[in-house]
Amino acid sequence: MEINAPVLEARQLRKVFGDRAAVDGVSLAVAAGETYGLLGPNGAGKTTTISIIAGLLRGDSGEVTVAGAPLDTKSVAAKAAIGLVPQDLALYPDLTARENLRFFGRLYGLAGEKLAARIQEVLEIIELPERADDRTSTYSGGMKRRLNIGIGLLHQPKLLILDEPTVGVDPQSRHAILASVERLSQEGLAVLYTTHYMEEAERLCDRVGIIDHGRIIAEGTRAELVALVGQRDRIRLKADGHLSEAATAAEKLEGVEEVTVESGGLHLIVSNARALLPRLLAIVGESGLGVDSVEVREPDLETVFLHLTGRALRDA
Amino acid sequence: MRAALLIAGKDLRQRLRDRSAYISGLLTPFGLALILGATLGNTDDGFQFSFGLVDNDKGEVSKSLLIALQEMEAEEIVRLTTLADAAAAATAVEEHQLAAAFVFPEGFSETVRQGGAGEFTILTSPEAEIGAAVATSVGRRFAAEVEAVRLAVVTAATASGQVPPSPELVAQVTAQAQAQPLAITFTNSDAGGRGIDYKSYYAIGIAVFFLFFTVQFGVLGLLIERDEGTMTRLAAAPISPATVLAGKALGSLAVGMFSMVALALATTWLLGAHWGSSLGVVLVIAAGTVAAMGLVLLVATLAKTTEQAGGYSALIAVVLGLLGGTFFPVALGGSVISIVSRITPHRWLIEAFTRLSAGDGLTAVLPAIAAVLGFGLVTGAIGWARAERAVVRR
Repeated sequence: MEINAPVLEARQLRKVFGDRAAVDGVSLAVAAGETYGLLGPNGAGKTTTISIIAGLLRGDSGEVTVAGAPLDTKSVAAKAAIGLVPQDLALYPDLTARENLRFFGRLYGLAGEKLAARIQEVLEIIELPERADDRTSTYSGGMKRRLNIGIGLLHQPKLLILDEPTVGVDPQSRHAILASVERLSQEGLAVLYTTHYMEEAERLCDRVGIIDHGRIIAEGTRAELVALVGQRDRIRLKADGHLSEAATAAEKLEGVEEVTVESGGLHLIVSNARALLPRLLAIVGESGLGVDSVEVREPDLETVFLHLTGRALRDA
Repeated sequence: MRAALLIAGKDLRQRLRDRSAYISGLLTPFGLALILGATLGNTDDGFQFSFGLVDNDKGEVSKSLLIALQEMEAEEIVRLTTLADAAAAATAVEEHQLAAAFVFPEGFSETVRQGGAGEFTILTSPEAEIGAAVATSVGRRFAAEVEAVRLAVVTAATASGQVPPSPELVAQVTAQAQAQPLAITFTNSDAGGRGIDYKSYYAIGIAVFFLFFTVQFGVLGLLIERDEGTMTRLAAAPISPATVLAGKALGSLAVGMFSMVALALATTWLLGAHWGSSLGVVLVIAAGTVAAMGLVLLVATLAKTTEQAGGYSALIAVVLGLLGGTFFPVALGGSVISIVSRITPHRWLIEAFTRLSAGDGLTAVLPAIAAVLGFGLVTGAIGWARAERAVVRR
């Protein structure tokens, strides 16, 4: 994907509550067509950071520019370029989806046929056209989540900020939300996505900033972050048969660094499990092993976070 | 301004879909005005209290009360009926024809003249509480005046060495005392000294009382938007925090004015209440709505939660409403209440409305409008500055 000039630039953001720095020198940039993930545990400073970036919260210091316009809590031009999807549902329950969209669309300066057409487009995107004229109080949680995202998209922002949009969402709706974000990014939208779900960051984000205690402690593509850890992939084969022979054959494969015979199978440390796996399975098959299951463990962002902080992401 | 109107329009749409709004903004105040007006309106004819007088004494002392009551009748505060005897008075009171009756026995003035303890009776109707209270107050004041004259006679007699006092001395001192105006005063200051019927008074009072509840929805809506998360979107939109506040204020203004105008029209058509000059009424309503919004905005910013803000606002609305005379004329509450009531916007609103109801023109209510607006602008300005925190966190 082609990465363009930054739509969002945040420099040295800082916000202190009492004697605690919720955000401490955060800098990041997101280009058009790029999805940037802000990954960190609860309380790491993700929401405070995006609150400053979205103009909801006045930072103590630092600068934010969106689409070239400086942003603070009163700036109009920069705010108009942002679409915000808050973590908590932000809908009027006694208005219909169409009325919610119309109200927020007008707040962003849309009107007339253009607004009506855009509302219909968004309703199609979030798959709610049939329920558009029902009050949102009658919606399921997943439908509300989708509408919550739709409102953020309505005015066709240059930067879409999503603050943990899948918290409390059922798997089907989560899949739909992630697919929508992928599609929007492909269409050229700059996306800032906060999450504490490592799987979402890995699936969606071109680059990830790992945030902890208000600081970005590492930033880069998934591969760059994993490289920080320096770990190899692990493959665990559960199999019956001549394990020693199979282990000897596997050791000869390029990319295999270590093979251990365990009770009920083999444990291998390799450089690239995905590339190696077809050849490995062929060899053990030739050795007469009956393979019951294969478990591949690649180093992931969870591993990176553990490596950098000494804590698991979800336990932090 | 466009965005503020948009927010106000959205608020009104939500308000129209909230059935409780019709109950709290229209049905409840109208029902209360109806009940109070109907109940109290049957016992006294407005603020013209019906009193009776049985003067078996025919003396100078009882005559002085007759004069005082006749003066009150001239002021349209009392409607006085002279009765032949105590039995007739008792019957009239029992049948609710009179709120109270003063009965002087034969020889009352002579007893007092001799320095004795004269006794007279006030018959009161339990159904006419306010009229009975006024009659009792008048009677006590009269008794105090009589006692003062008696002491003056005794003092003069002692000073001149005429103990017991000679009839000439008694006549001289009594004549001098009676030459002084009787210190019994009762004025209906809210009506500018003129009569106003109960239905009009309670229609006005209840409307003013509920105005401070009706406008709460817009102001407290700020906190509700915060609770429901939609304030985040408003704060993120390309509009200033002041625009959000202005939108909320416009919504409150519209609802407050609409409910007051609707109540004025409904009580006029259905209860026969008199509100007076339409222009004056609309201006007073607008000023009152501004005052209510200012007060509620300030109170709301002092609360931590929406529930707390609602509780504080309701409490203050009730206390100020009671002090300000929305349920009874402040003149009946004594001088302290009357003075304290002047710090409440309710008092000034009641005064403005009752003046208009009594037929006064717009000029007469301008000072009251100024007082109400001043209250609203001061409290509103403080509240506005604090309310920005509800839109943008610092």
